[in-house]
Amino acid sequence: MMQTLIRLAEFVFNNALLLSVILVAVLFFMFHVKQLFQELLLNKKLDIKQRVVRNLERIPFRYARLFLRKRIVVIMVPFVVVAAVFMAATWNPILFEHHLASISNEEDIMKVHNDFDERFYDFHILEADSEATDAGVMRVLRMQEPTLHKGIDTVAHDDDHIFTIANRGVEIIAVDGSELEHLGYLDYEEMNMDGVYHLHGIFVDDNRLVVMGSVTEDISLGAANEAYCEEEVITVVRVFDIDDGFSLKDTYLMGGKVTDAAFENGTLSLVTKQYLPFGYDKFRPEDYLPWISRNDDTPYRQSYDAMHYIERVEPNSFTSFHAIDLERETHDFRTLLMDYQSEVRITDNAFYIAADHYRFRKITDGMRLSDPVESIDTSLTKFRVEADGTVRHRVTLSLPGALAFPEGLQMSNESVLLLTRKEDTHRLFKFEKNLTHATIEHELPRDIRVDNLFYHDGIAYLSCETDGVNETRLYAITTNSIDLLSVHEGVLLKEMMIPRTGSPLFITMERVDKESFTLQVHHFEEQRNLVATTHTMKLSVADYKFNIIDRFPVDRETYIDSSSRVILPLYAFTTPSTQDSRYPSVLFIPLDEEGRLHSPEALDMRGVLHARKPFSYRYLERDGLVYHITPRGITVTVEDELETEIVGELVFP
Amino acid sequence: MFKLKAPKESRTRLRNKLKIIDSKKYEFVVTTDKEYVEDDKINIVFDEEDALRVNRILNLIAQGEDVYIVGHSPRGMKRIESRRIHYFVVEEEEVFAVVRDGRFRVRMKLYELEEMLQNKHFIRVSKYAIVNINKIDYIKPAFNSKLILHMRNGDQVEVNRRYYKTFKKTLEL
Repeated sequence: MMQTLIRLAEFVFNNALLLSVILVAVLFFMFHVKQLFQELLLNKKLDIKQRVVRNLERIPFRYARLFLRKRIVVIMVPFVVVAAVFMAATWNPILFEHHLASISNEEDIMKVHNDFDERFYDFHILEADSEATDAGVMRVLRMQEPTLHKGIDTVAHDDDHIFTIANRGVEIIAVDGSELEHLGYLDYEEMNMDGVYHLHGIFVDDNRLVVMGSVTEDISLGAANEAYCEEEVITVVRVFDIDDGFSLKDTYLMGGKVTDAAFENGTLSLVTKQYLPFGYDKFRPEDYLPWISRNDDTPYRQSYDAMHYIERVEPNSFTSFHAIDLERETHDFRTLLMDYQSEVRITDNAFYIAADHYRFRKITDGMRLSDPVESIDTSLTKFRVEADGTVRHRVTLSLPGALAFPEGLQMSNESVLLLTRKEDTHRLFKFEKNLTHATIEHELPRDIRVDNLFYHDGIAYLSCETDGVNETRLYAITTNSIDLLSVHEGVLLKEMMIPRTGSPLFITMERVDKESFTLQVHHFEEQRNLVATTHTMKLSVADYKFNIIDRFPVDRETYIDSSSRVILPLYAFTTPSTQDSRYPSVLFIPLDEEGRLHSPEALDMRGVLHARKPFSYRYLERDGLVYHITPRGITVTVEDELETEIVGELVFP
Repeated sequence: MFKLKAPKESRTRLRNKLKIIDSKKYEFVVTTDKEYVEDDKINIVFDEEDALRVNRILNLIAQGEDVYIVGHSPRGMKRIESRRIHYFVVEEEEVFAVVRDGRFRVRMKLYELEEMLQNKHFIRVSKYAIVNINKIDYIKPAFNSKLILHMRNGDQVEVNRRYYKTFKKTLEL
C-alpha cells in the first residue's frame, strides 16, 4: 500500500506539468459540457413553455443551435492543448536505422542523453540519491578492477629478455639459460603525468616493448556543482626500442580509460571509455570527446560524424574502438555513445560489443512512469579493423533478453556465443563471426538458472542451479546440434579448460574445509552426450593451509605445463597460521593421459614470490628450463625436478 | 393551463388539431366526451368537427384580453399592445418598452408594469428589466449563474443571479 502511494507520488511529481495541463483541459471540457446540457435543458423548457401558452410566433427549438462552429472550436481547445503537449514531448524523435542513430553535432548527443535519462531515471526522483550512489560505486569498483587482455600480460619476453611488471616499474632481465641479469627497469615515475599512474600490461612486438597504462586525475566540475567530482583518465601506450637501449620510440595518448585491449597480428586494439557525468545535465559533450595524440602531435578530437548511438542503450559514455598499427605507426578509431558497462571482446582484429538495450513502454514518449522499461534486450555490435588499419562498423543486432551476466558473451575461433535471460528463461545464441544470423538459438528450460558459461571447441558448458535443488549442475550443449543436452551434478567453484588430444578436459575445484579441497577432472563424452567425471582428488597438504591467490591469465590453458601438470599458485601457511607465517608456493599436480590426478609436488617460492596484490605468477618453459616469474623475482628450475633443482634465482633490487 | 382528455384512438389527432400541450397544473379540461368532465375545472366539451373554432377559443383564453401600454417617442404618444413588447428596461432612471424595431418611454415604474403584466407571460429578470417570455428566441448560460436571453429582435438581456431561480421556475410547466 505504502509502495503504491510512493509510486503514485513519484508519478505525480514526475508528470506535474503534463498532469496539470490534462487536469485544466478536463475541467475546461467538463465546464463546457455542463454548460451545453444546461443550455439544452433551458431552451427545451422555453420551447414547451411557449407552446403551452400558445405563442403563435414561436420558432421551434433547433438542436443544431447547440453545436455552432464557435462552440465546437471552444470545446476542442483542451484536446488540442493536450495533443500539442504530447506532440512537443515526442517531437523530433531519435531515428534509428539498423539499430543505429547518426550523430552530427553536440545537440544530438544532449538530446540522446537527456531523452534516455528522462525516461529511465526521472522515476527514481524520490530515491535519486541512493540510486545514483549505488551506480557510482559500482562503476568505481569496476574501474579499480585490473583487467588482463589477450596478448597483453604482466609478463613478456623475447629470446634474450624477460620483462615483468613490478612495484616500481617494468623490470628488465637478460636471460641466458639459467643465468639471469637484471638490466634495470622502466620507471613508473617517469611515465607519470599529473595523476596516479596505473599499469595495465606489457607485450613484445618484434624489437618493441610496449607498455600500456592509464593516468587518473580527480577533477571537480567547479562551484556550480561542488558535490560532483569525476576522474579524468588518459590511456597511455609507450613503445620502447629494445635494440636501442630501451629508448622511448613512440607515445600514444588517448582520452578515456582503457577497459579492453588485445594485441594480435601486429595491431594493438583498444577500447577506451569516457564516462559522461551522471545526474548532471549541464555538461558540454565537447569536454568529453575522445581524442588521441602521437608524440608531440596536436591531439585529434573525434568528429561527431564518426560517432553513432546504439538504439536505446544507456548513453552514459563515449566508448571508442582504437586500432594502432605499431609497424606502420598508423592509428584510427570510431566512437559509440553507449553504456559504460557494456561487454567487449576483441578477437581476430574485430570488436564485439554486447550492451543492455532498453525497450521503453510507448507511453513514456510523453509521460514518466514508475516502471518505464517494458523489456531489456541485448544489442550486439561488431567493429572490424580493416586491412588498411581503419576501424569500420559492420553490424548491430538486437536480441531478445538481457545479457545473462558479463561472461555471457564468449568467443571461439569461428563463432560468437551469447547467453541472454528474459523472464527466467535463458537463451543461447551462436553466430558466425560476421554476425549475419544466428546459426543456433536454443531456449533452456525455465527452471534452470545459469551462473556461468564456458565456450570451448564448439561446446557450451553451463554451470547452473536448478530451482529447488541446492547444488550446481554442469550442462554441456554442443551448439552444432542443439538437442544434445547432458547433466553432471557437482559443485563448481573454479574452472579451467585444458587442451588435450581428444576431448577437452575441465577441472573444477571445490573447497571441502579449511584444510583441504578437491580437484575434479571432467570431460565431455561426445558419444554418450554427457559430461563425465574422470577423476576426483582430495588435496590436504600436511603442514600447509592454503588459499588460492592468483588471478588466472586470460588464457586459462597456461595453467598446464608441457608435462601435463596442473599449476596452482597459492599461499601456504605454516601451522599455527598467522599473518606472518603465510608464504607463497606453487603446487604442480600431475595429470595423466586418462585424466587422473596424482600427488602434487610443491615449490616453495618464498624467496621470489610476493604478497603484493594482485598476486601474479607466470610460468615459462624454454630449453628444458622452467622460469617462475613474479613481480619480485625469477626462479629457474629444471623441468621435472621442481623440488630439488633450483638452478637460478634473481630477486629484483 | 389546458389538459386534453379524449379516447385513446382520437387523442393524438385532436392534440395536433388543437395544438395542446398538457400541463401538470391545469385549469381547463378540453374534451369531446362528457365522461371526462372534471367538476373542479373549467370544462370545454366539443364535437370534433368544431376543432378549428375551439382552437381559436383556446388561443383567446391563453393570450387573455389585450393589455395596452402607453409609450412615448419623439414622434408622439402611442398605445402598444403588450404582446408586441419584447422587454422593458430601465436606463438612466427612465423605463423603456422595447419592441421589434424601436423603443418607447413608458411613464410607469418597473414594479407597476411587473404587477400589471404578470398574467401576460412577462417576467422580471433583473433590477432593470422585465422580459416577454414569448419573445425569447434562445437562452444561453453564462458564467456566475447568469443567463443571456437572445430576444427575437436581436437584443440580449441578462438574467441576474438573483432572478435566476425564479426565471427557471417560470419555465417549469
